[in-house]
Amino acid sequence: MALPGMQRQEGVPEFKLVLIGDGGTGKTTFVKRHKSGEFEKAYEPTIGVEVHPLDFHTNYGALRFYCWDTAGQEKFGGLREGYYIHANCAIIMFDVTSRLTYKSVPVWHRDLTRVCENIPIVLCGNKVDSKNRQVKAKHVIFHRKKNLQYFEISARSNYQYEKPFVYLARKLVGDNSLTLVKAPALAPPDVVIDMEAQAKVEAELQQAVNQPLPDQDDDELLE
Amino acid sequence: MAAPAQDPGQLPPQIASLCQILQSCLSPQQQVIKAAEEQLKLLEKTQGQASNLLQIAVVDGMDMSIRQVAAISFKNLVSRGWGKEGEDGFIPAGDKEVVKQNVLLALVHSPPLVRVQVAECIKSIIYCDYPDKWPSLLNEIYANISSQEPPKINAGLYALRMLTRKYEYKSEEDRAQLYGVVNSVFPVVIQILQQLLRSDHKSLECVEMLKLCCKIYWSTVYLSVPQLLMQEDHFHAWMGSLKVLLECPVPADAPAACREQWWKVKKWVLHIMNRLFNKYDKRVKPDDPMYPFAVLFDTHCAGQILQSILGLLAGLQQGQYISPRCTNLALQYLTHALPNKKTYALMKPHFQQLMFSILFPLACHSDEDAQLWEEDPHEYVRKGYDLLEDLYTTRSQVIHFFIDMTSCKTPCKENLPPLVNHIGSVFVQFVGAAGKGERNPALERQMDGALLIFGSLAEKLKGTSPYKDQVEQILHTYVAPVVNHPAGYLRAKAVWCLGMFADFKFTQGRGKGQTFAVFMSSVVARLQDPELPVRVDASVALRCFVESVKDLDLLRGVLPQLLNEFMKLIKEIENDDLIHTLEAIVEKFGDEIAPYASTICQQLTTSFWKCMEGDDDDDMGALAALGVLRALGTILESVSSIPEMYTELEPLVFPIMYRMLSTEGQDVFEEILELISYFTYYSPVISDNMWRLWPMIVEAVHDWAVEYFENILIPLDNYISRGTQRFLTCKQPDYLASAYGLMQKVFTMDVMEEDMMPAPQLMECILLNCKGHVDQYLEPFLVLAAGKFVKPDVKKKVFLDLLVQVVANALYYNPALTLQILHKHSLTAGVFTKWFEMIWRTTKKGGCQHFKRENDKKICVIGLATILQLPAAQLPPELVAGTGQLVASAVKLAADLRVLRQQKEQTLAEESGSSSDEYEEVDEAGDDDDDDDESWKPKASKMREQLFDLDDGDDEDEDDWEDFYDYWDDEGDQVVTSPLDAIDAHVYFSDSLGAMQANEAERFNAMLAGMQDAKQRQLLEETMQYANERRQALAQAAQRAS
Repeated sequence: MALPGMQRQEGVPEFKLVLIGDGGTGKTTFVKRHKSGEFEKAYEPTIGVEVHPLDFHTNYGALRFYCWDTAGQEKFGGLREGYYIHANCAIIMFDVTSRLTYKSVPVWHRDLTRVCENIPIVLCGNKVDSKNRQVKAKHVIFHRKKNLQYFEISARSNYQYEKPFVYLARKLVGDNSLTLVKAPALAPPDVVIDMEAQAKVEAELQQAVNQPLPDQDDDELLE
Repeated sequence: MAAPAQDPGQLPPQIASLCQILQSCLSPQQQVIKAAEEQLKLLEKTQGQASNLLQIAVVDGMDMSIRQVAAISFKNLVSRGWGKEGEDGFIPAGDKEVVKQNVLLALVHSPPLVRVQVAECIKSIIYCDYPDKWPSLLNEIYANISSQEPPKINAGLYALRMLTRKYEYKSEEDRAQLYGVVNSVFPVVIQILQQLLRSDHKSLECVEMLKLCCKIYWSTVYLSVPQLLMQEDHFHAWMGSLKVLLECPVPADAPAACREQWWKVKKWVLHIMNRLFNKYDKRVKPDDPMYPFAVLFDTHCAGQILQSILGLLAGLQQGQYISPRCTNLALQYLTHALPNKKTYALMKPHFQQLMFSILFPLACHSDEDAQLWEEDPHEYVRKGYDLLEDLYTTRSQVIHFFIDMTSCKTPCKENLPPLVNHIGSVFVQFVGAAGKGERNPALERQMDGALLIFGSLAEKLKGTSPYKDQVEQILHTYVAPVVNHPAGYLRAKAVWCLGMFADFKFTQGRGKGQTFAVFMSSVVARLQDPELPVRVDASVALRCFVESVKDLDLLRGVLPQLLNEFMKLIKEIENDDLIHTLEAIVEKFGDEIAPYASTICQQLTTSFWKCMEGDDDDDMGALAALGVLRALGTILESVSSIPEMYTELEPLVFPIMYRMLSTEGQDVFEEILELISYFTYYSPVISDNMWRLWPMIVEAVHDWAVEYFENILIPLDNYISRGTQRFLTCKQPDYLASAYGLMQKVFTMDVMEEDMMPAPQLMECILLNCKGHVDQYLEPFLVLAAGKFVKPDVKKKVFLDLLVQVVANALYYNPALTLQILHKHSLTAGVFTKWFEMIWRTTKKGGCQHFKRENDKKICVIGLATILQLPAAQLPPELVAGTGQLVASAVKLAADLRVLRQQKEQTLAEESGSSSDEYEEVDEAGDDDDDDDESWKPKASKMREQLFDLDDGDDEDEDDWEDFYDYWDDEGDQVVTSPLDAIDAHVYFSDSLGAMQANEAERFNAMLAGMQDAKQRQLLEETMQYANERRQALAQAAQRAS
């Protein structure tokens, strides 16, 4: 990988990762869990874009994601899709406690794939620690139509934090056996997730993967 | 701007520097990006920026990322700065011109990554600029689509699609532009469509263009068909092509993306055909400009498309894939074809196949249902009760088809018997297999479909021979046993099906007897089913039983368990159908519910808070919250005979009332006021907490709820009449001052007369309830009300009535003081002249224009009569002279009042004379829909209607008023009381006249002498006589009472 103007560490592969999704879904929180930043409870909308280098240690050695944390709110959009250019991979995030943010996922995906035609994309449902979940694992079917990987995460509890990165790294390196040799340094969890309940959700999700997709005419929503 | 391809080495300096900035936008360094964004922002409004960005986007040989970022920036700029229709944005006009000259060219020549961004802008530019500011667009489109070059054709079709879409919903006068477009380009579009159809290999690009053609046609004909497309050659060309598209198989070997587009093409064809078929049928009359098209469509298309659709659906029988959306639309077409003789005749030979091989299987429990049932029962329930979901599912369309079929004479006669036979044979097979103890999953799923169709046709079967005589037996033998079947989805379907027949007149009667009891208890038993969806369906089905039940004993025994199960369910899911059933139970049992009221309220309030925490866009939650409040109202109403219950329930409900009086409660304000009405009306005393709500109510009306002023009258009336002492004496807060402040504000605010009307009503309430204690407010009230009354600009008759009734009330309150105040403000002549005039004004039919309600007449009579009690010395000169006129007016009102009352008594007598048999007979006739619009309204709103609902109505149309009187005079339901109830207007008038005669005989005689009109004298005599009758009747009644 060589991006013009990017500071390179000798021998460390670097990837541009764009993080997109509606405002308030927890993109900035997610990025800041990684040791460089801390979790901020008070919500401050991102303006334009903020770029964070996130390092991971794998059996392939160190690798770095330059994580482009983009503004979710339209009025703070800056270049918007302009930030997606040259992205190697992407995370689309929504908030499982808000159906609206899930409903926007097709729009984010469409805008992304108009700019980056073939990059690995992860869909993340954030805030799964929350008690008033509105988007159930069952409802999440978009990724199956578009061949994305889906993960349930909770930035507040660090639940599955590394999963999206490991998946993307495997796709980018081209080896599905890639693993982390060292856990990323994360801020301590703010909440403890109910692992038993979440395990049930994951099991449901696993079952769902094998099911036929319902026909959804998204062109009635998207022109 | 030059040709799109340009050597990047020779760019003009302005563009070269812009390229530099765009390059910086691609930097990995945040500071560099931010700086570049700043520079772009600065350039945003400069001449040439938009066109320069577009130009960079299309320069061949330029770095692709720069072209991309240019295209994206261009798109962002257009969306922010181009403007909307009729409103220019900040992009300079000259720059816009350059963009318009080049944007289609850009669409043709750019690679996909750039093209998608440019295409986005075309829509906004067309919507904003066409036709006036972009006259050349049509020629450009024409040139592109006539070019024979696919990229140009594609770009041209795309722009045309956006252009026609702009006119899709435009009204006829705005569509003239579109007709020009159609005339010039549609001859080419149809050629393209035909050419595309002829090509052997249909690539993804080709299918996408086919879809564009369909969407162009859809937008163009959506509201009306342009002249050109009504011409036979064009009509046949289009319909023929669309039919081919509908019929041609989706190539199995095509890539998935291509197949997906194919199904979308078919979907659009079906949309078009449904639209045309629905719009251009028999209802289009020969004088309609669309008549020729309707004839063409009927003759050459409706039937042919029907055949194609039958062919398409036949594929389902062979296990072929058809997209569910297409299946749904195809079924819609068939449903519409039923009442049409010609299309029905075409369907007829295929009907059996259609019903049994295609529709019936779609009605049955599917793999998908089975999985959802298994994995997510909550979602299964939600989906089942989601109205929107209902609109799109194939199954609900199948049911619509069957129901519509039974409402069309011939189709019903010919097809209902075989359909019922088919259902019957499934029932028989199922019971046969169950008798042998076998489980047969395929048969079980068929049974599900059979039950669904049987239940859906309940209304028809209940009233049609020979089925109505067999229904009871069928339910007994085949349906009721399924309630205990091992398969949960069948148990659920069976309880639902029983519910659909709950109001059937069984051999032992409707809502009673053994059959009814057995069915109901089997549904009640399912409230404890291990599976959630069964429990929910059982509770919803139970509502049908509860509403039909005549013999309450059937339920009484199980009431505690029933309520218990309900509370558990409500805890588990938010579903307003559940709440409705609960309401139905509470309504049936009335105050017998008291022992459980507190538990139910507790659960309901918990549900309420749960609903409120939900997401903003969650309509189900909001609906459920509203349902909860209504249910609380129903409970409060049902325990009205037990005042202590209110003391017990108030702490539970108080937090909801308290919080929802803020703007947060805007959507539920009326419901909250109703709850407050119950507590302030029925509880033994109005609690301190309830008094805390008064300032909040008044504050809300001040701030944001002025249109709810009327709704707050009921609770305020309760506070004033039941807590008069506190209302008058409390200084912190000063309730009286707060009430006055509100009225004053409403009068001085620039609001509609309707919104002011509650103010005089509130004054009346205060004057009547606080007689003798609010002297200090008499003047301010009169200044507001009488001052408004004499103004010529008041329009609404009812408002005038209410205003002058404040004067009447004030006279009754203290006549001397009132006249003094009127005099002080020079209002005497104005008020009385207008008042008398209103009393005598009649409609064309001879009815009165003003003071239509009993209460209006009564208070006017009393007010006027009170004046007669004053000695002439205390009267202003105008009134002394007008005594005769005053008496005549009062007599007129009193006479009208008497007639009104006698009419009412007569109606009552007639009603009680009708035997209960007649009621039963009406019932038999199937006229069961007595749940008119009013029935759901809790009593508080009835109270309001009785007291305050003042429909101005049309003067010539008195029916509204008669309806109103029916309501008002429904003695059994008289909840509203007034201090005036104890006073009889006629007696009061006669006493006042008597007092005058005794004290000032001379004046009295002069008055009599002045009465020249014989008719008036007769009326006076009759009134006095009637007053005597009333006096005697009242005395007798009082004696009986003691």
